[in-house]
Amino acid sequence: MIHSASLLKIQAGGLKRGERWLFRDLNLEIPKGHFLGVQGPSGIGKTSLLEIMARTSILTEGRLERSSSIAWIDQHSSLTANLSVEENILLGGLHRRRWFQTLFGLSSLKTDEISEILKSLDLQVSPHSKVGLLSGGERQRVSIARALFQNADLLLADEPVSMLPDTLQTKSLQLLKDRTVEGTSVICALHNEQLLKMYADQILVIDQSGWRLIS
Amino acid sequence: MKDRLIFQRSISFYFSFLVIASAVLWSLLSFDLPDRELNYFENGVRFLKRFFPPDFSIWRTVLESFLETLRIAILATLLAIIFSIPIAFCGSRLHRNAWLRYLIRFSLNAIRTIPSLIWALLAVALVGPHPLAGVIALSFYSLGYLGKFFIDALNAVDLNIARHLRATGAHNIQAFQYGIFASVKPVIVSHSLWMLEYNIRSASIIGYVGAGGLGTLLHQYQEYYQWNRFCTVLIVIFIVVLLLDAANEIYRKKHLVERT
Repeated sequence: MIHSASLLKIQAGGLKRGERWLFRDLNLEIPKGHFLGVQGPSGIGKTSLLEIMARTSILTEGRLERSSSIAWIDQHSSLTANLSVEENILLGGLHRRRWFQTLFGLSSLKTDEISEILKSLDLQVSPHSKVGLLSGGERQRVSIARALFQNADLLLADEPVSMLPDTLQTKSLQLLKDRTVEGTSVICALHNEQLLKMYADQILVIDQSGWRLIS
Repeated sequence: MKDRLIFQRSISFYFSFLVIASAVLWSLLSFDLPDRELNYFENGVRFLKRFFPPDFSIWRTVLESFLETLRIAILATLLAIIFSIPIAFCGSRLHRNAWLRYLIRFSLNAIRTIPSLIWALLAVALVGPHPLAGVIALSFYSLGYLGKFFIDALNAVDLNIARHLRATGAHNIQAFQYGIFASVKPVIVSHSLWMLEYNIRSASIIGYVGAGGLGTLLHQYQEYYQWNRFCTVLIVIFIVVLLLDAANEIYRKKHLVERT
C-alpha cells in the first residue's frame, strides 16, 4: 500500500529492452513537494522510466503505485498543431471536466491565468496563434505552460528545456521548482548535470553499472 | 566506389528512359487513324464555333437544374462524410482488428473501381430516373474516396498527443476529440470540400443516364444540337467549380497548419 505522503512508489522495478536490462531492482518513493532529477547517458531508459510513471508503458518486473494526477512535459512536445496556444494549454485541464462539457469546445474563464503563465515563460506570442506555426523553443514553452496550468500533484518533465536559451532554461526550471513549495512533486530528466544540481533535491543516476540516488 | 555509384546511377537512368520511351511508343499504337483525309483542326474549330455565343436566355431553366444538381451534390457529400468517418476509423491503424481494416480497405477500393456513371446506372435501375438516384450513386462513389482519404489522414496522426492527453487524465472521448480528430479535422473539411466540388461536376454528368440535375439539360441540348445552350450550362459549372476551389484554398490556408 502506498504511503499517504507518497505520490509515487516503485518497488523492485526493472525494465528490459530486447535482451538488455536498462535497470533492475529500482526502489523509489516520491513524497509531496519533492524535486527528483533523473540523469544518465542517452538510451539508458530515462524517457522509458517517465513513460512508466505516466502509465503509458509498463515495467518488465516490479510494481508501480501512483495515487496522484500527473502533468507531463514529454520529449515529443505532444501539442495539437492545428489548435491555438490557448487551446493547447486548456487541454491540460481536461481531467477537471466531463467529456460532454468539452464536446463543443474549450471555452475558458481562465484567460488571465494563462496569460500570466505565458508571461512568466517570456512567451510573447498571441494565445490565439496556431501551435504548428511556432518554433521548437516556443512550442516547448507551451508544453511547460500546459503542465503548469494543469496544477497536478506530480509533474513529469522529460528534457523540458532542451530547446531553450540558457536564461530561459534556469527561469523555466525555477518555475517548476516553485511548484514544489505548493506540494507538487517534480520528476525531471535532464542531460545537463549542473542545472539538475541547482534545482533537484535528489538525483537518480542510471548508467551501465545500475542506478543510484544522490542527495 | 564513387565510380561504381555513378555507373549504377547511369544504368538506372538509361533503363528508366528506355521503359518510359517504350511505354509511350506502345501507347501510340492506339491511334489507329481512319484512312480518310480529315482536317481535324478545321472540324474542331467548326464544332467549337457552334458553342458561341452562349445562349443566356435559358438562365432560369439552367438555374433550376443547377439548384437540383447542388442539392444532389450536397446531400451525397454529406451522407458520404457521415458514413466515411466511422468507417475510416475502423479502417485505420487506430483500430486493432487487422481483418476489419483489410476488409474496409478492400471494400473502399472496390467502390472506387466503379465509375460514378455506372453507380448512376445502377441507382436509376433501383429507384428510377429521379434525383434520388443521383444522391445514391454519388454517395457510394464519394464514400470510396472520402473513406480512403480519411483513413490516410488518421494513419498519419501523431498518436503521442492522444496518449499524452489520456495519461494526464483526459477521458477517451476527449483524447480522441482533441488528440486525433482536431489534427485531422482540417484535412477532413478540405477533402470534403474537394468532394463537393467533384460531386457538382459529377452530378452534372450522371444526369445523362437519368439521375437528374444539369446532366439532364446537357443531354437534352446535345440531342437537339443546341450547342450554344450546352455552352451556357458548361459556363455555369465552370464558375461554380472555380468558386468552390477558391473556398477550399482559403480554408486550407486559414486552418491547415502543417506540423513542422
